[in-house]
Amino acid sequence: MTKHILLTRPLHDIPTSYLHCISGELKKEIESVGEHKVIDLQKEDAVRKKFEKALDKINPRLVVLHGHGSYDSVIGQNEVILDKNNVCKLKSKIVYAVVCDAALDLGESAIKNGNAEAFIGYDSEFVIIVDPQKSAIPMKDKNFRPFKDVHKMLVLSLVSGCTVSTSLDRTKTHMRKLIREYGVRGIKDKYGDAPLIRFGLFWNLLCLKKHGNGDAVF
Amino acid sequence: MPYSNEEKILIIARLETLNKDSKILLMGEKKPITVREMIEEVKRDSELGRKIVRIQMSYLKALASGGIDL
Repeated sequence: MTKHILLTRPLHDIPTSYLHCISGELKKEIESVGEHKVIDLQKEDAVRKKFEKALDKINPRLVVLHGHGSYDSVIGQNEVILDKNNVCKLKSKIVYAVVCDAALDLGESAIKNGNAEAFIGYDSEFVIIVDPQKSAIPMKDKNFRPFKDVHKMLVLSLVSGCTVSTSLDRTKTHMRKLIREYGVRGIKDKYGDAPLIRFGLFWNLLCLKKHGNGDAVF
Repeated sequence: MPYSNEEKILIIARLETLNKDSKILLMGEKKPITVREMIEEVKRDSELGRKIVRIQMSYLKALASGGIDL
C-alpha cells in the first residue's frame, strides 16, 4: 500500500529559502524510489486551509514541516498553519517539525491533545552556518551541506522504516561524526568557518527532541 | 539557566578566536548574523546572547566529558 508523506515548504525569506532547498532535494530522493507518495505544499500552497485539507483527505502517516514557528505554532507561507486549534488533525501521525522551538509546547500538545503518535522537533532555534559569499544561493553554499545531510538522514531513516528512536539515534550519531570531522581531522576550510559549523551542529544536536512513541514506524 | 561572569568571559574569548565574518542563520531570524554580532549579543546579555553562552558551555562540557566522542 502506498504511504503518504506531507511536506510543507514555504518560501519567502532567507531561512525559508534554505529549508525549501533541503526539502526539495528530499522530495526528489523520496520520489526517485517510487515507493511512497509526497504531498508537496510549497510556496503559496503552504497555507492553513490546504494543510488541513491534505491532513483530512489524504491522511499522511508522516508530516514534515519546514519554516518559521514558535513554541506553540508553525508558520507556512506567511500564516500560521498549525497551532492548538488544529493540532487534533495530527492524530496517529509521525511529525517532524524543522521549526524553531516547536518541540516545546506544540510538541507536547501534539501528543497529549492531538494524539499524534510521535513528534520530533527542536526546543530552540534550528540553526545553519552559511557561507557569507553564497547565502543567497543555498544550492551553492558548501557550509550548508552538513546541515542538509543531517536533515535528510532523519527523514530518510523514518521513510525507510526505522523507528522514531532509531532514526533519531542514527541522526545524532551522524551529527557527532560530522562534529568530529569538522574538528580534529580538519577539512578544507578556506574561510575558517569549520569551528562555527561544529558549534552549529552541536546546537542542533542539543536541541533535537522527541515526544510520544519512540517505537512508531512510518 | 544562569551562568557566571567567568563563563561569559570564557565564551566571548572562544568566539573571538573564530572568523568574525562567519555567519550563523537562526531560523527564527530574517537573516544570518556574523560571529561579530554574536559576540555583541553575548556582551549585552540579550536573550540570544544568553542562549549562545548556555549552548557553548554545554558544548565545552560535552568536549571535556567525551560526550561527542572526540
